[in-house]
Amino acid sequence: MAKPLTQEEYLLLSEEERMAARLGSLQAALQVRRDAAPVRRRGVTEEPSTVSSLGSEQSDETTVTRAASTPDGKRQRRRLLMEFKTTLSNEKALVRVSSKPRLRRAAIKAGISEEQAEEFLTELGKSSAS
Amino acid sequence: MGKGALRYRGVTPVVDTTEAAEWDIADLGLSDTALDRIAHNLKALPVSPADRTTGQIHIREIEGIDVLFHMHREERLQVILICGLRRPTPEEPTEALLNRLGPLAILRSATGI
Repeated sequence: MAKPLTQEEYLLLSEEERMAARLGSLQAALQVRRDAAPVRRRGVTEEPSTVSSLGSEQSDETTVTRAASTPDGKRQRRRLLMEFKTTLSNEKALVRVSSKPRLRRAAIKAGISEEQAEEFLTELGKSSAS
Repeated sequence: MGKGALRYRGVTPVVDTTEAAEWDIADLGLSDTALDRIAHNLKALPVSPADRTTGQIHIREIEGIDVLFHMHREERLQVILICGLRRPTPEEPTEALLNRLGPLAILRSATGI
């Protein structure tokens, strides 16, 4: 894993490198906010206090599966899948370069299974090629 | 609470900074007062027709400094996240620097994926 930049190192960077570092810092800040978001945003009807109770990606999946077993959960799951599809459709450039682990993380964040995400990417790949 | 069509009323804008923005602030020697004026400007008018936009990064020149920021919602807050500050130069406009990094870098930073 790359070592985080220090202020001293940042000040020594070229203009272009600094811009990349700014974007990286923004990405990290947004990631922290997303990770700290309450779980209900991932389609769970009950509302655990914070994400810290999840602990791991496995816990995310368990929560979503439990939510999907109720009619409300199924609707939520369909909605999440649609949102995920829309996001990916709007970001074909991202999809093309997405590695599998990155796709998995995105799928978990969106509250859908990795299989569904891969299925959709395959469809997307076919429609892009045609 | 009633079940009206409105969810949140009176969403408030707030201004945050990233770590890199803080380094820019230190590098530019901006005082807290100057930074406060910049934040007030952004809070008063989160979206301005004069803003230059590259991907989801907005650039606004305030007091001779290009302020780069991103906007998102957090519950009842409209978060204006300052992600960089830079003194613009005619030879190297800020948006040109951003564009040179490519849309993918901007997209990734703005989505956090």
